[in-house]
Amino acid sequence: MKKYFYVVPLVLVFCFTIACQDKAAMAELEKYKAQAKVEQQNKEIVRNFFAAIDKNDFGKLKELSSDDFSLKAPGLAEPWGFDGIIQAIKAHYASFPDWKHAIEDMVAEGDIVAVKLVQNGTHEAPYEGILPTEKNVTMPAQCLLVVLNGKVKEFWVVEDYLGFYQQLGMELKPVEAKK
Amino acid sequence: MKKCLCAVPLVLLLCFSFACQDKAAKAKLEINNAQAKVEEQNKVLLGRMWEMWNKGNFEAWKQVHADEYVYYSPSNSTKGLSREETIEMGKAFFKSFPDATTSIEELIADGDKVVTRWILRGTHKGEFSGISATGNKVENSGIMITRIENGKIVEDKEDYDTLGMMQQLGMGLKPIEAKK
Repeated sequence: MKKYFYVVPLVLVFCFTIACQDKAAMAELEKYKAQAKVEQQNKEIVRNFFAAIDKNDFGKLKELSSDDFSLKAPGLAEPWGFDGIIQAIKAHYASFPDWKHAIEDMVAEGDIVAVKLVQNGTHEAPYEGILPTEKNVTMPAQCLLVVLNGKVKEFWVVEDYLGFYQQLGMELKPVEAKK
Repeated sequence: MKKCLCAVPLVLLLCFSFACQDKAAKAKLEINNAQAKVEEQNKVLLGRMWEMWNKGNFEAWKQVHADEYVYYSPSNSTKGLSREETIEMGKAFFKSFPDATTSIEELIADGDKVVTRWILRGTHKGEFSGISATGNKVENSGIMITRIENGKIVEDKEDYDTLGMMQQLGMGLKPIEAKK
């Protein structure tokens, strides 16, 4: 019977070792879960961000953007702040009232969400001097959005503007040298 | 003494339940670790691919792309370029911009996909899209989403500043003139 006295502590030690290993694995697993959760939430915020643009819901857009929000795009000498993007949205929707963003793919890692989308809408009012064509035009875009603490901080966007203007009846011509 | 005898199976049971949890957690952890490893490898692959592209080493570039590779630009194009067609496009591009360098500004991975945000710099020294060499320095940026299968690139969908590129080569937008 005395044998059992030796076995019990041994078994207990064994138990604790396994329990300890379990804790380390669990902690690592929790980290992965937490990261996956943040990435899922960030994707949701980005979905809501584009939905708010489509609805021209500027209150919602403000809610989803950080105070130091900036929009960066090729050809912009300086990033735009939140007011800049609102002005651009208003101007765009005045010409294309039914403009929509259809998200086709999302890739998230850490704070960044990459989005591939297709935009389309009807050219119903003058746009940068181009008279309404009544055409439904399509423009693909890819974006990277930096999302921190549930708010969009940075918005990078690359769009096929050449294809867009071509659909509005424009073409490329050499620019004549100024006299 | 008999009390001890009762305790032993209980303790053993406790042990097994811990061990079970451990196994489940470890299995999940293994899956997550394997996924993280694949994502890291995919990013390394993209880094190597851009290096090959920058060097104009299309033989090496071909090795990291699957036979059935397709390149779409703009990203919503219905018809893409095959691997061979993409290589031809690349060779032609380097004839137009011999010093072209694409730098990776951001690289993010998720599952079987990697997204690159890049900046291209180069000098227009040969005919490009019907425009004779201007000697202009160009800078463009774009975003490309890449899909990888079994360690090889199977698909790229890319967008860049198509209008800005042509404007930097001395082109501008004009209304299409009515044909007579």
